[in-house]
Amino acid sequence: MVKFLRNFTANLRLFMAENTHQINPDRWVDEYSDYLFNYAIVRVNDREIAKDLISETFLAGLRSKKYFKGEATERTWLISILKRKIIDHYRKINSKKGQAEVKINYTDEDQEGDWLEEKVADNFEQSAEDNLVNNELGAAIYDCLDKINPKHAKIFKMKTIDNFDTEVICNEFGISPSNLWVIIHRARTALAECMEEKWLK
Amino acid sequence: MISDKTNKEYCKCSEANCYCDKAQYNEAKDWEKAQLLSHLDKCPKCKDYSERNKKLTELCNKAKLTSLQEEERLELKKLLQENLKK
Repeated sequence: MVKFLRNFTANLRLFMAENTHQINPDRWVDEYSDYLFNYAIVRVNDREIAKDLISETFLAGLRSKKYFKGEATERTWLISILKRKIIDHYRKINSKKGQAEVKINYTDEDQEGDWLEEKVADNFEQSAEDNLVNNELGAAIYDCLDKINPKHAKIFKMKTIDNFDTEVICNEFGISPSNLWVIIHRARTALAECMEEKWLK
Repeated sequence: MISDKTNKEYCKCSEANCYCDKAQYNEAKDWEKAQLLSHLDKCPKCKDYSERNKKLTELCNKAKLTSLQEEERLELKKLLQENLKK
C-alpha cells in the first residue's frame, strides 16, 4: 500500500510537472511582444503609450515571476498583467483630465454642470463595438499564426503586417521571390483553415 | 479543376493561386491578373481559394494589425536583460 502511494505521488508530481507551463523571460519579446502590442494599441490608440505599457508589463512580470504557478500559459499571465497596466493608465489620465475640466469650466454659475456632458461625451459608443471586434479578430489572427510553421508565420507577418518589400524579405531569409510566394501561399492557406470556423464562413 | 499538367490553354492552378496571392499585396502584373481571371472562370476550386483569400485580406485589414519594429524589439530585449541581471 505504501509502495502504491509512493508511486502514485511520484506519478502525480510527474504529471503536474509535464502539464504546467514554464516561465522563460528570454523568449517573451520574440514570442509575445507583437500579441501584447496589438492588445494594447487597440485599447490606448497610441503607439508610444502601448510600447511603454509593454515595457512595464515585462518588468512587472520579472518582478512577480516567482508567483507564476504555471496554471495558465505565459501569454495569458502576461496579458493579465497588461490589463492591469492599461486600467492604471486610464485611471491616471482620467484623474488628470477631471482636474483640468473642473478648472476650465467652473467659471460661471449658469454653466455649472455643463462640462460633464460637454467634456465627457465622446464617440466611445460608436467605436467600442468596432474596437472589440477588431481586437478579437487581431487576437484570433495571432493565435492562428502561433499554430503555423514559425518561419512561414514570420514571413507572413513581415509581408502582411509590416509591409516589407518582397526583395527585402528575400534578402533577409536568403530565398528567391518564387520561394517567398510559395511560403506566403502556405501561410495564407494554413491561416485561412485555422480561421475558417469563426471568421471565414 | 483544371489539370496542372495537361491543360496548356490556361495557367496551372498553382500559378493561379500564386497570382491570387500576389494580387492580395497589389503585386500581380496585368498579364498575371488576366490569366488569373481566365483561370477562375473555369476552375471552381481556385475560385473558392480566391474568395477565401480575399476574405482573409479583408480580415487582416480590418484587424489593423501592427507590430513592433526591430529596434523597438531590441530595446525591449535590452531592458529585460538588464533587469534579469538585477
